[in-house]
Amino acid sequence: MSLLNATPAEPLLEVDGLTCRFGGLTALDQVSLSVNEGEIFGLIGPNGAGKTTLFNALSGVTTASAGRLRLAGCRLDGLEPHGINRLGIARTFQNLRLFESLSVGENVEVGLQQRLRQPQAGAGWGARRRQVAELLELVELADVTARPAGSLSYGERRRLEIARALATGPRLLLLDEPAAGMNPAEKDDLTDLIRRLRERFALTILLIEHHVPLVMGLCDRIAVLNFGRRIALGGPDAVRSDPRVVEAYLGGTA
Amino acid sequence: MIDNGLLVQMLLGALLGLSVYLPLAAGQLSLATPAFYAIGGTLAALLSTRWALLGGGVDGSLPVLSLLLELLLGGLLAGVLAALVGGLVLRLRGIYLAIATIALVEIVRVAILNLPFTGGAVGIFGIPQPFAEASGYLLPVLGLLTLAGWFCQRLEALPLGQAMAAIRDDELAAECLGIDTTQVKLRAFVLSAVLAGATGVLAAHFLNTWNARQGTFDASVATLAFVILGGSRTWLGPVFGGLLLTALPELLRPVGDARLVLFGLVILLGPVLAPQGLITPALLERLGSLGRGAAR
Repeated sequence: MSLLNATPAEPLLEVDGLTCRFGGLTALDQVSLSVNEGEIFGLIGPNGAGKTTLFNALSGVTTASAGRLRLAGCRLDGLEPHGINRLGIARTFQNLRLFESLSVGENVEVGLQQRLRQPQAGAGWGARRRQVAELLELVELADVTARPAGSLSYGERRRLEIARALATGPRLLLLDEPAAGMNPAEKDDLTDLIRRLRERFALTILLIEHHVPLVMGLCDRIAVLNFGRRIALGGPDAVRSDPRVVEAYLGGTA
Repeated sequence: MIDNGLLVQMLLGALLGLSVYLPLAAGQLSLATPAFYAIGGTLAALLSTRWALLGGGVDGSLPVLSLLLELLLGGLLAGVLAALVGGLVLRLRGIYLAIATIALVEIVRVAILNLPFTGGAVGIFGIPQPFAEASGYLLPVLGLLTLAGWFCQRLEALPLGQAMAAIRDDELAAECLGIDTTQVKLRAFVLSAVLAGATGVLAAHFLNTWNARQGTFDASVATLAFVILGGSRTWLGPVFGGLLLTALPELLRPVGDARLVLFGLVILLGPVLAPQGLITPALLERLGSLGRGAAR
């Protein structure tokens, strides 16, 4: 819907000619795309296409070799990851990176810290506790608040990573393969959760996912990467029937 | 078996253990504790022997208030130096940070050995004593340890402590959650230095003499052993390790030369039999529930 009557307003995220080289390997080659406010934007592509590298560049973990990144007009290049997070980008990790020795609740509290430092946010213990409880409620982990994060199941860990990222109060949430390792029922729940999060926090979501039905059903627009290049961009139907996408996934007929 | 003098030394060991623990709680293996300990001790030795205003008497006494002032100054000097040096060395990770901090210990040692006013190899003698008996030192040393322990306990619930734990568990994830990891690590490093500096001040008066050999690489290893044997997951670990490993060589005196072998065995077998250290959060939890059971 946001797509059909798209306003000409400035996009939330602009990626312009992003190139990342590691020695002789070009992981991303002149990738450009923009994500609009409120959009759920999918990033797909075969293994090694550069999806996670794009996330790393967006979150400041990897420095871009060339190109520009902007969030709501603000330049992101050269910022350290914590600076980028404070500008409003939060991410999850493909290979889960929870603080295993801390409790579930503390994991979320760590995320809350930086936000609560800002003046308008309700400070103090009460507010902090409430926000932790609220976020954990949302991802259905409220009853394990006191358990060590290291003791959670795989699906629970994925949801905790999402809650922890949300705690930093992002405008743009980057989800790196949120459904990896989940069973079909969990995948359905996750789709619902991502939709609810967008409504509730007025979020914009950029997600990497291999499970094509989930991406097709959830995303407003999709970009396809292959060997570091963006080979397609558009709505789910357009991308699905794009011959270059079919070729990237099924192999060329040349 | 444990007289007051040994008890004070054990408590000083516990303080140094906590000083190593603080950066480690943020995942940083720093061996710089003896450097800041030496700086605090040297400052106290110089001030109390050279600065008449502090009131160091000819009879070798010193007003307790002057000791408090020295504690403040010693902590401050160590903290400021740590803030300056930390910005540089904390860019290094893991074993490289450890090596850089060993270098720092060496630089401080050689500086104290060669500076024109620190007494060279013999050091500084006749440091005035605020207390006539070893037992007098128990109160300030125990006081500092209580303060440091209370602070470490409190830290766990504070944003700084949580950020430190987050960095220890996963520095990249912490950074991506908006935590300025460089700042947090620097704060832990400065806190560690302040504690070591203040401990040095107390030690200088207690020992009555001070020289460059107080802060050596050997001391780096010994203080690290406090934390490794005691455990690094709760502040009680390094306190216990510091107490035990300072007392052990003295307690083993009756067995003669074999004591060093036994001491070595303890340091060797400790990590083998209890890789997490002797005091772990799980152990404390068990003790806690035992205590509650007994109370009922």
